Amino acid sequence: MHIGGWSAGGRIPSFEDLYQRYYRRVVSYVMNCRFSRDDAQELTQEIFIRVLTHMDTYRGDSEWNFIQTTARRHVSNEIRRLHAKKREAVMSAVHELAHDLEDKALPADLKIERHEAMADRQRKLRAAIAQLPPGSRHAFILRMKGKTYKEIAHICGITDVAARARFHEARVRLKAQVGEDPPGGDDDKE
Amino acid sequence: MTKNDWHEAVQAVSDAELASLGEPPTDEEVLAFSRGELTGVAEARVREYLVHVPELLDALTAPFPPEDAPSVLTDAEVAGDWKRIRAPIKPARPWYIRKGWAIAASVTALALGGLLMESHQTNRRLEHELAEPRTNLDNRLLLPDGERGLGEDRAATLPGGNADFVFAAALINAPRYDAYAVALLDLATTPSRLLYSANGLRRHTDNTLTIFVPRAFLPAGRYRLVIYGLQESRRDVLATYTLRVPRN
Repeated sequence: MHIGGWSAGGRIPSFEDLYQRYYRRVVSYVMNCRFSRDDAQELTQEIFIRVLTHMDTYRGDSEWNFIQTTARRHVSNEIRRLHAKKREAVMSAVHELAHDLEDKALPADLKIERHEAMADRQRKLRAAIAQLPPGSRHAFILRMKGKTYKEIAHICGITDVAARARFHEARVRLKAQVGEDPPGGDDDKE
Repeated sequence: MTKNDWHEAVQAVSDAELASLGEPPTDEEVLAFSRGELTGVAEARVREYLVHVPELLDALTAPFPPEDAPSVLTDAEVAGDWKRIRAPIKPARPWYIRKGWAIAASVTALALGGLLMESHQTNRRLEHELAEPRTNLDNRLLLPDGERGLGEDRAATLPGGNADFVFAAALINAPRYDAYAVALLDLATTPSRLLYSANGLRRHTDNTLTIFVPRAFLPAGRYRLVIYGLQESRRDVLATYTLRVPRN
């Protein structure tokens, strides 16, 4: 494997060939993993550099398989890294919200009221979601994250029908608690 | 309540629950979960994580877009990204230099391996040779210097060939000592260089002392064998034997 246009006996594709052939598909895959377009391009560039530098582990089967394996590993590590960072930030985020309310120089009382109202709404919603039974809460969280009932069923280890029922139960409970319909009803994607 | 309010709240609850979980599952654990191979606590642990990070399951199991799927990037973007990828990579060296290094490394490794193997074989051969009987030794009765006539070259010339030597150094009119010692000197240098010495030699009833010297120990040159008598703290020279080993 090399970066130029030469390849041994014409059988081994050059790195540039691989890039031209597969780069777009890997960017699409990364975007499907909920990364923004810019992040997907950046991650895919890292993936191709890894492909180039880890060619010593390439065992001669399909180069597309090798690229897919490298991409999946790189993206899954990135997802874990981002969520680990988020975990560390959870406590400081709470602190920052309070800090904003207290110290930020807001010119008008109205803005402070709005800010407080927003914070109050969030507290109410979070409390209502947190009080849902675990099964319903998980179905609700997954549905709000854009998962289909089939995907929810797979993750939760239940049937599609049960996934739909749990989500419905969550909506009913939340409506009773906060007085408004949550989004993600049956008119949304299956 | 807006849709954003709900999303923000869900994300906050999800993040808080995620923060209470332990280490994230490995790729292998997620794949095993996806195939239904996990049970009990292991399954529950992965499931709990995936509820909050479902994109991890997508990353590991979702199919890649097919080859003919519409591209999300323009040709200009693809070309621009290629420039960015190339930038941190050093240009490849010409193939003959890369191959040259590889060949040199292979040859060195082979040579070292060969030497190591040869060394092992030599050791084994020598151990074997030392343990087996020896034949065709060259027995030489050595007369002390001054006892071999008055020729110009007073050295005893040893025969050529490959046989090892067994010297029987004769002591003539030498008194008896508690013990005897021997030294073998190389006369090629001034002062002469000590090649070998040993104590505890035994004087035979025929007044000789026996010394075995492998042929390889004595390349062509002139040597002197010295026999000492040891008595308490004294060490007396009893006889010297000058030897010449001719070139084969």
